Amino acid sequence: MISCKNLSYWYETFEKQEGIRGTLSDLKKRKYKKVEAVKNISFEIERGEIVGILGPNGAGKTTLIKMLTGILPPKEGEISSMGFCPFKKEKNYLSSIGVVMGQKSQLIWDLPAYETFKMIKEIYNISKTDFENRMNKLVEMLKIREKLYVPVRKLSLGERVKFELICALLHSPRILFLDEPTLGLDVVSQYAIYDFLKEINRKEQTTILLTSHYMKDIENLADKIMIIINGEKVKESTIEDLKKEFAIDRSYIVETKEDIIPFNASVCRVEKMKECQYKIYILNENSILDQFDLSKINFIKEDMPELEEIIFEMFSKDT
Amino acid sequence: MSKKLYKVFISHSLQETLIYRSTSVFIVVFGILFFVIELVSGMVYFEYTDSLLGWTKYDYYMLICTSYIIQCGYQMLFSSAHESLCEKIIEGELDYIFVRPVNSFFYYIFYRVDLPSAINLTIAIIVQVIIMSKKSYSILQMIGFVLFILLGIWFLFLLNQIVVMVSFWKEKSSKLMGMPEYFVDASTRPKDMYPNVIKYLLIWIIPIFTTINGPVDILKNDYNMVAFLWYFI
Amino acid sequence: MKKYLYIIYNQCALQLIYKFDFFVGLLSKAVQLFMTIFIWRAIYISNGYEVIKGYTFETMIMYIIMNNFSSILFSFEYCFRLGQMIRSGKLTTILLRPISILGEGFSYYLGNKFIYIIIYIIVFITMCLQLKGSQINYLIACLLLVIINVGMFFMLLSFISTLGFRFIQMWPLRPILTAFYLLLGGVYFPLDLLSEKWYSIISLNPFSLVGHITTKAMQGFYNTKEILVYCLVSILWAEIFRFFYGRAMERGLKLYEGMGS
Repeated sequence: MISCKNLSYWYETFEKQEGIRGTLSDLKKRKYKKVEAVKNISFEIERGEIVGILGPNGAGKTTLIKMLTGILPPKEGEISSMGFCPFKKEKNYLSSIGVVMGQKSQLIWDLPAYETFKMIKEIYNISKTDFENRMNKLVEMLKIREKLYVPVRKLSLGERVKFELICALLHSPRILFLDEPTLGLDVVSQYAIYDFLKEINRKEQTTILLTSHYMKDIENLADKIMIIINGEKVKESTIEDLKKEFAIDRSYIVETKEDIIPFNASVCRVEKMKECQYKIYILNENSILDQFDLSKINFIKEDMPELEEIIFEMFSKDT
Repeated sequence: MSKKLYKVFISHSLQETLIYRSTSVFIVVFGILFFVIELVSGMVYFEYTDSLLGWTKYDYYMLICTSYIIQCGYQMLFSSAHESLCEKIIEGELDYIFVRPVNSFFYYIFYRVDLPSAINLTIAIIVQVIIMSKKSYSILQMIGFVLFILLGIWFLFLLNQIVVMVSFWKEKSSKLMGMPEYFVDASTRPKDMYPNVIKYLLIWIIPIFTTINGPVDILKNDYNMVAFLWYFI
Repeated sequence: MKKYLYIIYNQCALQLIYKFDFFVGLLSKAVQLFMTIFIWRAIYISNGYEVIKGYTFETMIMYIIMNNFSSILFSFEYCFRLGQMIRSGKLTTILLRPISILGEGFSYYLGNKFIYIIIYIIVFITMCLQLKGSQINYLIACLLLVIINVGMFFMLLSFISTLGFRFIQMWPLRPILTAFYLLLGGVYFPLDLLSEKWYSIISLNPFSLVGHITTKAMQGFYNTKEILVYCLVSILWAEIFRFFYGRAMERGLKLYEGMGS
């Protein structure tokens, strides 16, 4: 569906020198600096996949999305999205993508969201019946019907983001690009949006590409993640694989009712974490814990690192 | 860009105008005031002379009126687009325009119609008709006059367009946006009072004199065919 | 106090960073200036007048140049700042800081105009150097008038800017205010060319004080006493604007929804 080869992009900016003297010398000549936003990134995305692009602020996520949507031309490398070259801005391509940029709004600020929808209907040549059906469906799914005729400026951030998503989906795009879609949202709105996106993905086979520096977004939605740090792709894998890779030893956490180990601990190494809580490292794949007295155990769970921990480790290592 | 989409734009413009009723009334009232101020300064100038290098009081008023019509026409059709585009460039909000499957150029120039300017335009046209009714003109002159006003509106659009483009490349240059306004202001005076260098510049380089002075020149039967031809090009 | 100096400094630095804007700003003023000069030249030529109501061609040109220069110092961009801050919700940031809105605004205004203020001062000093004895008092009175005018004009701008609470789009105001200044400040023509009756009505309006009257004062048309009277009038205006500004701000802040937040 989407294939990128050796993508690179850089910006030119100037640095302001310090103090009055610096300002005056800037007046004569500015020092320009090349900032590499995306460095030699390649990847493939299949139809119906949800791919999360993770990275700290300024990692190059938004630049990558801008290249994929055709806003920026790649300085080096190639993009083929559904067979199109995005920067050519062919109508057929633009009609089959939807975009939400969390930091920017496509809603008309002073008018109700419905008015923006009407405009989108004409832009994408959506027939009246299709438009009505689609809008009603999306509005119901996001439970936001009663806000449809309220001026956008009177809406809460969560409501606005929901309408932004509808804007991007009204024309049934095949690919949905979401750049920081849940920026600043509360947990309830976040989960509502996750459920909605999963359903759209499942029912319509919409390919979703989302960027975020917010782990929960990705963990809840994405099949696959791509981690970008300083413009470079440092990792591309499924969440499960990533977790496995970062789980150094196989371990379990056991919480007991009394402060005694309720099994024979000879086949494993036990580390007491706190009262009534132990971490067990299995020494051998084939070893079996016997004489387990379940009545003395509150819970037992596999100790997998949280995605957040892994990412934190990666981010802090590279920056 | 379809007609239907333009209809939606006009409907949105109307709704926004109505939401900000007070602002709109304000624009209309003060727009008229501005027009009156121009006429008053004309009165002061002609207190001290009967003819300004060949321009009578009557010609002068007609020039003020014509320039006002052209400016209102431009404002009505294009100015809000240019205003918002400039804002959008500066704030980096252009992205959504580019991901739409419509011509981005038409999308933004027709995005809004400034309705208060439409009211001012109507008033200016009425005043113009009153002034013109005091003399008689041939049909050819009338056609030329109207045609030149329309051309003038288009020319102002192009001029502002260039400025917007420059502001696109030069990051933040809000003051540049005022430039066309100053040029237009300069040409709301009879071109004959300017030294030849400026006259040459504003006829042959940026033909703003032909834009604003042109329609009145036609009515005065005092025009330069070559300058007109250049302007068309 | 230090925080306000920082604001002045930052604004001044910003002016220099956007040098392109700065020069375009100057150029546009020049266009306006020449336009007025040419129309007066045309009037003097057309009619063969030597003197029009006490103005020779040279004094007229001098008047127009100086008045146009003042109009750079006294311009209206600041009026729109509050409106923009209201719309973008940035006003909240300032409201949350331990800083006076008026003080912050004044520092911003001064910083923005810093370069022109310096030029203004240089012009002043050159004029001082050419004068002797008793005329020094006259110049000091002039300087006083200019300083009071800056304060008064700032209060006027602040008052107008509170319209931003009510009107979302403030930009149509710009050409209108400019037009007011052009006419009432006497930029197109010295106000005393109007009939006596009209002149007596509009001569003491705030635009005239900063434009027409200050220019004539600097050209030496008045005596020291007259200038001091104008200073008083200017202070009176400043107080009036301050009063209305206070009222408008109070009501405006109640209307303020903290939009964009």
